Amino acid sequence: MSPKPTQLLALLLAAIVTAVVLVPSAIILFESVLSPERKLSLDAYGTVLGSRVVRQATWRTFEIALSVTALCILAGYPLAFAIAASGSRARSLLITCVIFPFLLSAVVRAFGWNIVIGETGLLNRILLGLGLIATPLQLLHTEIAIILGETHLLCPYMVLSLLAVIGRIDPNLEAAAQSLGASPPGVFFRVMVPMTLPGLFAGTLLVFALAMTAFATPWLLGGTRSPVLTSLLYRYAFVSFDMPRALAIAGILLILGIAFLILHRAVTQRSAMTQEHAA
Amino acid sequence: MNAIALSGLAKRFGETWAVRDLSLAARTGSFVSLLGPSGCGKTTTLRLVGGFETPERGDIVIAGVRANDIPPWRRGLGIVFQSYALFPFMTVFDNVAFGPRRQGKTDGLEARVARVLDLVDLGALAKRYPRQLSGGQQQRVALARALAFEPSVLLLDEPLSNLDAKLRAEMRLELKRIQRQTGVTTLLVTHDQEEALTLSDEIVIMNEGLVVASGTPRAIWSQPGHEFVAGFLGVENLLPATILDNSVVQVTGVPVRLTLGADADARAGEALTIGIRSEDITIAQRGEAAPGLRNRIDGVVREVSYRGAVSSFQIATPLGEAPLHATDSRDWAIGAPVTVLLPAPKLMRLRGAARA
Repeated sequence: MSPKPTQLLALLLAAIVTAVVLVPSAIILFESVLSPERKLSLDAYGTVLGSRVVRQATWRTFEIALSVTALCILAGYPLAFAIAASGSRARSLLITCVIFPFLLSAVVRAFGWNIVIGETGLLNRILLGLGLIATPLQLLHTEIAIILGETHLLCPYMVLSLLAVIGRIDPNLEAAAQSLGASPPGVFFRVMVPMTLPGLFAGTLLVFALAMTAFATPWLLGGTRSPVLTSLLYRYAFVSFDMPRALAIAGILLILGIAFLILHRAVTQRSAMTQEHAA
Repeated sequence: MNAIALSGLAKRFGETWAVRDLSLAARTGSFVSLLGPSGCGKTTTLRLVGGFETPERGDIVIAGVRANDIPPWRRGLGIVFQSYALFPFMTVFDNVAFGPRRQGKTDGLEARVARVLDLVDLGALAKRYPRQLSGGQQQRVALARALAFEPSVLLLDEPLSNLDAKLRAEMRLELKRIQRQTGVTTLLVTHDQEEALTLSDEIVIMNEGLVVASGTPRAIWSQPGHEFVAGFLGVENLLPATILDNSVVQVTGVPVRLTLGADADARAGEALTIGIRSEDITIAQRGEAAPGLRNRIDGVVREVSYRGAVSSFQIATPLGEAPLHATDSRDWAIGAPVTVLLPAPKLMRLRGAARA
């Protein structure tokens, strides 16, 4: 029996994913556990994890990714619901606004944030003008700057993921819940949140993974005082040419990513089992 | 006492008035249907009662209390939506328990849910999810959910239109039984005249945002009163005419006079429309019909369509260009010369204008 075209396509996709994702990842992981003498050893990991800078950067990377994800959820829900509720013309305008950060180069975006949160930036001038602060806030080159910049960039992923599921919700569901005695907050938490969980999970996965592996934004907004794992990786691989350390950091990033993916799958599947979402 | 009373209700969307000036009342325990074609304002009326739309004018009184400013979640109405709107991530039990839980009626919740599920014959499916149920079963869950917190009024928005014909007939009987058993005042919105006729104590017919007729199913069926209502209820033959005296009319444009049941209020010279259902017309062999009967008109059979127990005929007559629609259990051939009899008591006097 000859394979169907769809099976061939699936096979082709599997081959491409293996070639460009799985094999390189395996090579990195493999190389990271080899000593310069090509022997199996975890020395490189010992060295990088022994360094306070790396440990701090690992924690910082995780902390930033978590904060960015949380902020994207907080900003994404109202945005997505507002867009879903608006008329068709307003909706396309709003969606364009939401995905606008995608159209800007990282440098332009970073420059924009400079104007807003820089030492003589808009925010500081307003706060100084209002007399709320005596000296300008140092926001640029801090974790806060990185979190703001990445939230700005990654929020569209959350909004679009949520919009995709909100659009499929029967509008009568809200009316039904209200008629049964649920006030608007009740409708949101008891009906809309469970109904949008698949979108929330998808958005969370995208935002967290992209926030963990972001390079340009933390590099431009965080500077050298708040390095994250990707900036250390760059420093070791392209500045000091310390390949064993670079590989170990790449390995840590990969392992964190895979761990998050496994955790994410477990949560998603458990919720799918207990909640039985209609496809 | 009235469970629901609407007076002078009006609702506008942009430039269009969906509901113009609507008044109706439903006695406690009665079953009232809002019947009309799509766009007549019946669904808007239901959404106004439910509190999902705000009226421009008029009052909504539920159980004796003016409800205009009461939000939907405090109106205490059970609503069954056309799409059922079940919560897909909840079991049947949780769907039904949603209302009582929100309203703090959690004492004996299990027994309460079991009782309504038994009422709709779904006792065994409490642990299932909506997508594991058939359309008819989902419909029953929606009904059970709407009844679980003992609402003052049950609102049904085209509840049977997503079911196939057989299931629809079955659910119609079920709906009637459940309504009788619970005694809940019910307001049904439908475009299906059969649904309205079989279920209702009272039918309110709407067109273009206004009530055009209301009454018991029997009264509406036999005396629609308006050309629009008659047309909507499937009265096939409508003839424009002018009143000559209290029992005779002149059919417009042709030299035919028809005799009707006497109407003391008839004013000579007034225009009206005469209606008669196809099944009320008798067909006879030309020359065979008993002499002396009035309203005898000669014609020729133009079209025949076999429908099983009876056949439908289109008969060309001097009454006008449009053929007369009649049914008969006998089989008349195309081209057969016949005489049709229009029994005086079956002729309806209809006001011409669609709006009262």
